[in-house]
This record gives sequence, structure tokens and C-alpha cells, in this order.
Amino acid sequence: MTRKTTSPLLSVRNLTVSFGGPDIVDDLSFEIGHGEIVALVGESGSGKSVGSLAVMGLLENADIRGSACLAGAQGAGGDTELVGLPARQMRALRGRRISMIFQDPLSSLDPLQTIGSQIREVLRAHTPLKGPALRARAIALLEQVGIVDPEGCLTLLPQRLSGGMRQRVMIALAIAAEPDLLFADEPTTALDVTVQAQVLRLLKGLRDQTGMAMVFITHNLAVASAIADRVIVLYAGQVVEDAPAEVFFRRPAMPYSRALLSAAPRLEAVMGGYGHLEAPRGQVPSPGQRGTACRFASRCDDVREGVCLAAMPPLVSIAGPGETNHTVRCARWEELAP
Amino acid sequence: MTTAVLSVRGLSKTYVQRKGLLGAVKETHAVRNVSFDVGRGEILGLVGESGSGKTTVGRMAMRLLEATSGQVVLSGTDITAYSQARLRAVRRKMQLIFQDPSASLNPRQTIGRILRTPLALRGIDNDQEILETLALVGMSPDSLNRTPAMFSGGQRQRLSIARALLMQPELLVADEAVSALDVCVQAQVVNLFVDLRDRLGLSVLFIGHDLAVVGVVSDRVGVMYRGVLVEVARTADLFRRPRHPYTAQLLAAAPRHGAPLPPEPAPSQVSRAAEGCVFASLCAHMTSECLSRQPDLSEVGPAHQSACLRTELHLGGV
Repeated sequence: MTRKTTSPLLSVRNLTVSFGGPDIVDDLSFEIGHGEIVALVGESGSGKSVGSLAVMGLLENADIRGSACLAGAQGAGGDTELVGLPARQMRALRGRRISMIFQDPLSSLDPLQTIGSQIREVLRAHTPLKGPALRARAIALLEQVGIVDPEGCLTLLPQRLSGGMRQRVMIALAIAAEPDLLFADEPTTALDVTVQAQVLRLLKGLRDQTGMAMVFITHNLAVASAIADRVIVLYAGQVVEDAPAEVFFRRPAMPYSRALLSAAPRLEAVMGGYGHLEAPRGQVPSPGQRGTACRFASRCDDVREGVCLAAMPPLVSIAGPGETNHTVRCARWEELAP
Repeated sequence: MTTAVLSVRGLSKTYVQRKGLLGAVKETHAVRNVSFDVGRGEILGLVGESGSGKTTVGRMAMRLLEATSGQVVLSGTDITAYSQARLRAVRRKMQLIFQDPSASLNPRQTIGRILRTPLALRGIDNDQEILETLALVGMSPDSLNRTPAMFSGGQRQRLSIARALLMQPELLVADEAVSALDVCVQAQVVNLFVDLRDRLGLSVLFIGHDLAVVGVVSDRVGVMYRGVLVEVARTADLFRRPRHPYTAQLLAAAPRHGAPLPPEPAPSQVSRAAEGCVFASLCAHMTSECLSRQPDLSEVGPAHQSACLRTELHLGGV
């Protein structure tokens, strides 16, 4: 599925974000390949949204260190460092090369403007299109995201659309300039299950058609499983596992990943009133209380004092020769491997 | 089964809207003819998509919202026609747990004060029961001196459950009570509901949109679609052998761990007829008879009811 070339599209290195206090996102490193869908999975406070907003230059008053390097557009060459990029240049990049959709489309759409005028505005900003060509492109975009009556939709105000339709319109706006990378932050969380399935199919289909890469931020592992080529698990501001999706769901290596998978109720394992979910005890440490050892140690059933509490385990590669990259942050991964 | 703690019969809610001063009257059927029982010590799940009427049913069952028609029976007593004054006396027996606990706990009061209020209503003036209840929901006694802001979302939900329990309810109505929680915390609170049912014999109407969550916690599950209760069955039966096409479609659309995206369901065939089955226009098994009337719930198997004319259908489950 992944159309990986040798160099990644986005390379995040040692990204650290704070807002004047303790680091919220801590030494985050990951890569997104061309045309790859990567699920960024974590609980609230894991840093998945803050990390992504930092990469997109959408955080105000944040202290951002490290690097986020976006590879040059096809044939254009020249990588762009996103951290510290002047606001004007960042704005020129957003929408055109990287784009985003959020959980609540209504807060991103102007309630007083028709869908048509909002799409035209985006197209005027990012393309040279005018007049009938502009209108034709707007209709084509709405068609592409599966809106049945695109011409009628152009004349409507956002409030007239259902949640699923609004999210489709948001996706149309986000892909209008054919970006290379789409950040999707919980885009299906507010949607009903049948509509969610439609939007997931749409996003995956768009990747297949256009080769656009996607960072899909979610707390829902089943959703991640439905769409992602690769899964990156964040815990307390750090990457704790990064694995191909099929490997991750078969044999997750980090105890926290296993805990997440067993805590999530599964449709196929529903027992009927005698359900008991395996939940790790306690809660995620807050940014000020993360300590210097493994951050999951206090909740981990496999914790070993001398090993896990001695130092912060590094993110190590555990992929065998010839296997796709798989990294994990656990000092005991080898002993614990099933 | 022993007598039901909650029994609703033919519950309906219709909103009437008039277009303009002399315009036509438009009726919206938010809930139509819903009947079910919640047995003692039973958790009945109610699932449905947004707008299916599940919250409206919960609120009518608690008489927080007047039903247009139908009957609400609490532990054998018909409370449908109770006045507000008489309701106050019975309302303690049914407690509502909301999605957002921070909105239902007063941020300026300590947990001690919040939890002493229900006891004061019962005329009790010592903390013994509070401490026992805190232990039951897995919170420590030193919570009492803190304010809600000092707790995480999961802990606040435990505290609002503790407050509800202090009223010694017979029925909890939990409306999306774990939906806002992170997966690990959600698992802890789901386990708490099951634990409370087992230890206290508590009855729960557990309303939610997440099939897997509702399935894990519930003894039986009811599925709502556009205001109609289309199927009720024991959880395992409903999930493995759904008998209503909507239930089957809902189950198929839910994403699963390590499974590919579910396929697109068959496109709609007909436009919706006002008198017909609510699901007819999207149903792959529709016949002409389905457009003529909305079927009532009827027995299709042991403790299994479905509101589908095509009772011969056996559909794919999980």
C-alpha cells in the first residue's frame, strides 16, 4: 500500500514543545512516507494534537525545539524546515502543501457563507482558477468527496448539512490545493458509526487516488486499524511504539500498547453483561510528574525495579532483517516478546 | 424474571411545529411507541446513532421530559401521571449519570459537601456511608477535602456515580456516561458499572452510541433507529445473530481491531414513505409491504424481539 520512496515526506526529529512550564511533547521523532497513512494514537495529554499543531505552525506562545522537515515538492527539490519558519511562509505552505481537518467541521466553516463561496475562496487563494473553471473545480471537488448533489450543495449554508456532509465539505476544502500531507485530527470522532465508515473509506480512497500522505490523529484503535498503514503510539509526550499496522495489531511490543488494546472493548469479544475489560491501574502522569524513568512504569504489570526505574529506556529498533521498521520504548521488550 | 425495576410501554414523543402564523403543522416523531423493561440487577443497553431518540427515551423514563403518550412504571408503580411534588419523592430512586461529570459537579464545592447533600436529603448526618461509597467506586477518603477540578475526568465520573449511589437508587440511567473518557479510564468505569450491578444488584439503563462499549456492559441491548426501538435481545444474541437489518448494518459498519474497512452497504432503493418502516429506504431486504406500515416489536426468538416484517431473515452478526 505505501508508496515509500527512500526519503520521507515529513521527518520530525527531537521535537519538544512547552508552554513556559514542563515539556508537553518531549523529544518526539517520527517520519511520514510519501502516500503513507500514519495513525498517531494516544490518550488525552499524550501530546498527539500538540505535536501535530506544532508541526503545522499553529501553536501560539509555545516554545518549540527540534526539527520538522518537509521534503520539497515533486521536482521542486529543497526541503523546508517547519520549526521556526516565519509565519508568512508557513501560511503559504499551509493549504497548499500541508492541510488539515479537525473533529468539529462546524467550528472550521463560516456559518454565514455558503459552501460555494468558502470553496471558491480556498481555490482563489491556492490556484490560478477563475470564472467557470473555478466553479467547475468546486463542483468536481464536492463530487470527489462523495456529495451527491454538488451544484445544490454550493448554494447551502453549513448549518443545512449533516455532520457527515460537513466533514466531507471540510475534506474538500483541505484537498482543494492537492496537498502532499493531510493532518486529520479525530476527523470521525463526532460522527455516527455508519457515517464514520463512509468518511474513513473516503479518506483512504483519496490517498489511493492522489498519493497524499496522512497523519491520522485518533484515540480509537479500531479506527486506526481501519485506515492506517502504520501506527505510532504516544504516551505522556513520547513515542513509545512505532510499527506497521498489521504488526502492531498482531504483536504489539510495548506493554502500554498491549494495555491500550486490551482496554478497548471489542465487538467480536462482547460477552453480554459479564464483560470485564483489562484496564491498567492509575492514570497518565501529568507533564510535571513524568520523572526520569520509563513513564509507564508505575502502571505496568511487567515493571522491574532495577531495569525500568533506573533510566528512561531509549526508542530501539526491534525489526528483524528485511522487516519494515518497528521501534519500541521498553527496556524489557525482548524478554516480554510473546 | 422478577418484576421489572423500570417498565416503559408505548412511549412516544412528538414535537409539533407550525410554519408561520397560519401555516401547516409539522409533526416530528422523536420517539415512537417504545416499550421495554429493565429487570432488577440488570443492565439494559440502548444504542443508536445521533437523533435516534435514545436520550429522549432516557429522559422520558425519568419523567424529566413529558411523553406525548405512553406509560412509565417504576418498581410496579405507575408514575406517568405523578405531579412534580409526588415525583420528587420517587425521583431519588432513579439517578441520572451524564457524559460530562465536570458539568454536573459544582466546581466551588468540595467533594465532601457535594456528597453530603444527598445524605442530608435522606436525613443522615455522618460520613460513614460516604466513606463506604467512595471505597465502592474506587476513590480514597482524602477526596472529601478537594474540589472537582483536582480530579481527572475518570475520577470525576466515579464521584458523580458515588453521589448518585448515595441516594440509594433502584435505577441508574447512564447517558453516554463513559463516552468522553480515554480508553483505559473508560475500561475502569465500565468495569465499575458491572461491579455495582453484581455487588448492589443495581439496575442500569445504559445509553450509548459505541456498540462495543454498550455490548460489554449490558445484559441485554436495545437498538434504536429514528425514534423506533427496532430490536431488543440478550447481548450475545443481538451481536451474533441480529434479526433486524439495521442492527446488522450497524454492526457491519463498526471498525474492528486488525480488520479492513467494512464494505459500503447497498445504496438506498426507495425514498422513505411516511407510514412505512423507518429503515425501509436503506434496507437491502425491503419488500413492498415494508412501505405500508411500521411493524411493532415481536418475538423472533427466546427473549429476542425485532420490529421487522421479514422475520425469516437471519443476518450476519459479529
